[in-house]
Amino acid sequence: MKKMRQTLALLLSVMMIAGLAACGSNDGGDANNTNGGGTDDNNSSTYDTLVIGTQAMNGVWSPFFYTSAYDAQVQDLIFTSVCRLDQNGELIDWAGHVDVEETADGKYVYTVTVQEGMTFSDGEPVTIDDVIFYYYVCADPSYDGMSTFGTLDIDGMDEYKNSAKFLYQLIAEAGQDNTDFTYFTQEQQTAFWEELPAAGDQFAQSIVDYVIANGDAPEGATVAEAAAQWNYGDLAPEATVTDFFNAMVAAYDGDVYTMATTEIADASLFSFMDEKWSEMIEVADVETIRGINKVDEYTVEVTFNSPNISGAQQVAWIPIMPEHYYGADWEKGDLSSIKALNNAPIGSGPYVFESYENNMVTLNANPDYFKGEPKIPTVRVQAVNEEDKVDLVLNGEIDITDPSSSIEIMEQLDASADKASYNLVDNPGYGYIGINAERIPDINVRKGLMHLMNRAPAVASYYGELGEVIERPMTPTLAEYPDDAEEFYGYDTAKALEYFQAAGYEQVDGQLVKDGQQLSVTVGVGDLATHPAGPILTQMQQDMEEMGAQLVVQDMEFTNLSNSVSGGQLDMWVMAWGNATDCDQTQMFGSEGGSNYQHYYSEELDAILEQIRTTVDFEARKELVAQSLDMIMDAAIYMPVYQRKNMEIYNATTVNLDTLPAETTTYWNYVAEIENLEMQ
Amino acid sequence: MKQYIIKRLLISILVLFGVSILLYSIAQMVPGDYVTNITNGNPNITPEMVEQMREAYGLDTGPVEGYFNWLGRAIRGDFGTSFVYQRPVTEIIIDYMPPTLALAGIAMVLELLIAIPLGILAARKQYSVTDYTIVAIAIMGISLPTFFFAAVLKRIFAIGLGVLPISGMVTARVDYEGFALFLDLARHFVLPITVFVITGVGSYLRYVRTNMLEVLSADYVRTARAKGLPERKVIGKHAFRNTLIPIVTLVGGMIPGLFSGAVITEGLFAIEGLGNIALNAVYAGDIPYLMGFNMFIAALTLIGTLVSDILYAVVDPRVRY
Amino acid sequence: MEDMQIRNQQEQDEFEQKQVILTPGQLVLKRFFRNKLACVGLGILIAMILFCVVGPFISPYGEAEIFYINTETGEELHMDSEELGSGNSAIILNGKAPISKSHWLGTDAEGRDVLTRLMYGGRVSLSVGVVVVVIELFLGVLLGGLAGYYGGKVDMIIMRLVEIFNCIPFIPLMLIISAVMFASGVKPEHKIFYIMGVMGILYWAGVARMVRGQILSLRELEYMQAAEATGIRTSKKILKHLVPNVMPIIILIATMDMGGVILSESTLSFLGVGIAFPYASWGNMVNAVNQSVILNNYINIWLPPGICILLTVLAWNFIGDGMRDAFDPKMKR
Repeated sequence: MKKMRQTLALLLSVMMIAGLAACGSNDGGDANNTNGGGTDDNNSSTYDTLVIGTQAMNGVWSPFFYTSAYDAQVQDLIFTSVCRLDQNGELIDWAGHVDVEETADGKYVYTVTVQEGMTFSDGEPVTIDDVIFYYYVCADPSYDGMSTFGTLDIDGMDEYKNSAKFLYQLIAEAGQDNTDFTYFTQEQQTAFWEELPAAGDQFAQSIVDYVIANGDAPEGATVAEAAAQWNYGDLAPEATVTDFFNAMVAAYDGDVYTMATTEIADASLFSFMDEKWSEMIEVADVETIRGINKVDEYTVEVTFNSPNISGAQQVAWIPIMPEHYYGADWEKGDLSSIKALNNAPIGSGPYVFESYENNMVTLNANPDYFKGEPKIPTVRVQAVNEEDKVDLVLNGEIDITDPSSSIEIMEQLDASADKASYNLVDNPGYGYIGINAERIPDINVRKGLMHLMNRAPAVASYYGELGEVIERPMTPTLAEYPDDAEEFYGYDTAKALEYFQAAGYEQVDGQLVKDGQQLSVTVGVGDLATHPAGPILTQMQQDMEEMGAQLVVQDMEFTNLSNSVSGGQLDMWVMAWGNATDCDQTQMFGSEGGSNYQHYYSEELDAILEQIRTTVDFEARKELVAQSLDMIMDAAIYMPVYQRKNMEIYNATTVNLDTLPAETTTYWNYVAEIENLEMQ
Repeated sequence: MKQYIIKRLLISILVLFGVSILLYSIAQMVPGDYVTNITNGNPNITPEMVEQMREAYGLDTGPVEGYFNWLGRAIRGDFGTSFVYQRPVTEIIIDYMPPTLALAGIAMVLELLIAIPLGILAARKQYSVTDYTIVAIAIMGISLPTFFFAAVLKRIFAIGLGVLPISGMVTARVDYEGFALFLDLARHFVLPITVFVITGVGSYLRYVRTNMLEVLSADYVRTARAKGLPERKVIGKHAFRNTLIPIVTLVGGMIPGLFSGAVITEGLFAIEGLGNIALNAVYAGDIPYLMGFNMFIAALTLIGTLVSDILYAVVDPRVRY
Repeated sequence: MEDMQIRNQQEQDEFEQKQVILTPGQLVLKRFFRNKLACVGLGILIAMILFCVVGPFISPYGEAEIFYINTETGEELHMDSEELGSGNSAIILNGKAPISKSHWLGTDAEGRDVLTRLMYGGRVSLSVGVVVVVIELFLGVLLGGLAGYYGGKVDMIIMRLVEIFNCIPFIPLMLIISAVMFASGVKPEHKIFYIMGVMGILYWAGVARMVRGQILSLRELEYMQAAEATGIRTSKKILKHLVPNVMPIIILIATMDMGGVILSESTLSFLGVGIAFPYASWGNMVNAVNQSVILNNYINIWLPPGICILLTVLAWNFIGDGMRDAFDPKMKR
């Protein structure tokens, strides 16, 4: 039930930490100011504890390793960052500062500083070493957290990360005729290549099985038939898995390692070999990253080899974590001592972690917080159910929370204004319906499908004034979103039929067929209570049935859905992005993108996306973004559906509403100014 | 007797072994693995990072190898580290056990305390208004889903009347200590336990009633009545003892049911117990925790069965081993 | 004297002719209909079955039909309306509509007629109960009976099997099965059949355990020892002497599980793996109660399916009680 929302929130937080917010934003949402601006002289509050309602937490309070957005919410109170986003989504100084400079040789040097005189809650001073410590942990070869710092094009990063390799990689890359036995012996090399063919057969078999399991080849297909689906079409009909494997190796000119990492289906080639080949071998003694240089106690320089419009966020929108605490027993390649401290965080944020028990985190004010000691002595973050949030505030059990908004809730809150107050901010994400261009290769079919999606009635009924239909696949909270974009594919059954006919489908005996095959599309959906896709698909199903086509709606539990989407097993799917701040959509629409689930590959689009990433001028970038979005729409792979508002509600009987921030947006809420917040 | 128990224990261990294989294959089939789940939809994750993480989480080994790795460690009491919580599974189970145990334990005792006397009463007064009322009310409890009762009870008692807290385990705003803390916890547990009891008591009550009816029509009860024993004695001494046999079987079977009931109920009341986190583990593909939790339940189930079988022998001397 | 004898004979004949001889089946029926609650239960169940079987033919709407409304004119539009393509922004989905003449129970959040869905949903919920119970009884009585009767090694093996099945966690398994079903290309409309099968196969263990326990104690009774002594066939011993005596417990399990299965189906819907979109079941309809907005504001959406489930489960249980009492040869009343 709640999975969808949770996962969206998770994505959102991931994006925020990943910090790609280079593009800035328009004003980030409605800023319904709740301030009445009254005076307030009474220092004696009736309440000394602020209760924040959140959802089930995992108890990983380490910015290195958390995976849940709700854990991150607690971390925000414990840690400070060097820089952060302001109301408009632009990077501003916080506990530090960042500058960038282009050098003569085309490199980019970011100078990151932290304020002097800050201390962690255990009394130790904050220095730039703590920032550098963060960089190194995230760049560690064994790092498995959510930070993408290690993927940045920082000078010397590759050497640092790849200084240890698997034994199989070393031997495979060295090749069969290698004579350099620095890292392994000749016997090992011989044994490896002797063992390889057997593993190769298993590997090729795993691809064949995968192709069949995926339905790309019929049950009982020959190796050659399956291989043809894997782009190895010229195998002899009676080819064996060995032939298939050899063909793959040959296609990579004998480079087994590259072949194995590229052609992988669901199991690595080397997983079929003995475990001894998976040993990690230190190949170089690289202890530092060349591009990270400490200047003085409070300053570090980070050198990028290429321009990156989100570089400043990547190096400065990071939590400051005490090296003396987390790094005491840390060494490169082994982060277990840091993981051991996951449940006992120490930071320099406004609050100090005290305990996590009974489903609730207790935090105490940090007297040494660099913006001043918070006025509320104790904050508790309690896990509650999404559906109970509003009632909990009205009952006075919690003080601040963020229910998913609806017209009914808004009316309920308006009717009890003496008990609760609320803010609406634009959700930095959107819902969409995606089409897999590999499964539906004919663009006319895709366009036909697009013309069958009647979005407006459903969105209007689901969200009323709290949501709107959007016309381009990008969150309108971004400044680059083309506000004047017009509808690309209106709901029009006649046009849809025309497109289907243009694709070669004909109506025979009431069925829409091509080459004897009826037009049949499978669409996957998750939780329909939160996405207005239900009515859209119902209408679509009916219209397609009338034409003689078929729409198979598979509703699935969310995890299953997302796996099927990323696995490419669905023709069409319904999902939402919780994308926070980024106008760089390479990962979603670029050919190499990790989230290019629509499998649409266009060099033209790649080029323009690349251009967006390196265009610093806002107006020019906005123009490029509009172009790229039009191209995406024209390819008929993504139908944006809705964009809606998020809600934050405050208990009017306990919280001093006058002390909330003057302006609340997606990027800036009470947490940013928590030191000023007061209770009644 | 001793021999029987030892034999049964050994067999139970064997069964547990079989169960572990079954559970491991089920856990392996959980839709999507953990790394896919946490990286899915994050546009910044590269395929290489995914591969690296899969290795780190040990997801790149085959199921057979994975099982033996797991078994080797499990025998030594090490159930691995939960992906989601990043802590040892045994530690998590111990940490989250108390709320579940309190909920399930209290609910179980209450259910028995209600089901046995009322079931007997209904049986004794078969076809009377008392009988109809008791049975009708009991059945209503098993006629609607758990989440229905939870939602409606919350609506009435927590939101409408405001006499009980909506969810959670303690009042966040106040620092209670000692007995006050206990009372606060108790207040938060009233609704969940009520839901447990309402949805659980009906089937036990009917079971008791049916068995009591059987016994009441048995010859020895008629004989007892015929020889002029007071009704109290007939029921207490002759009839009740004989209904104990099926009830004992029932108690053994209740344990796993209570824990699986906790999976839904705990979530509805935002109580952080074993069941609640188990559900999240299924969604997230947290195999180590799932395995640990399921093995824990399996062991409990087997112990429950064993105990009830032994008790069976104790209360019914006719049963041979 | 002779006269007397003849008269006697005549009287006796007359008496025998007048006496209504009831077959065991008629006896059962007679006893069953004497139980008032059972009659009420039967009445409810028949009404429900009529409602679900005949209802859809009377209802003018389809199970998945959605409705639109023109907010300016207040006119309701159907799915095939020409106006939908006009781009008129006043046309919105007629979701969560109140009770009205055209929608006696209003519409749900997705703009579908609640009453019509209630009819279609009942078909699913009722048949899920019956099918699952038949499967679990077949397996459970067979294996439980074998275990209880033969004891020894057979008992040992079957009971270990029961224990293993008891240890399979229901919820994770159902989540996995739903994923596997998609991967193996099962059509959404057929999903429910697979779910029924799996539930039946999972639930037999409980039945087997109960039946075995019952037979275990029956086996020790004198009449069974007597039956043993007469040397009749095993199959006859089981069918004639044991099964009728475990009948009460079987009926009890069957009727109770009939309701339990309907509830399990709703729990599966709650977890997102129940009956497929856009089909209805009472279980997935009653799920709306979990959305606080609907619980607080739209009683017409969540209460009717709740009442249907409640009544049906009650009816099954009442019938079960009646049947149990009617079947039990020991019941003298």
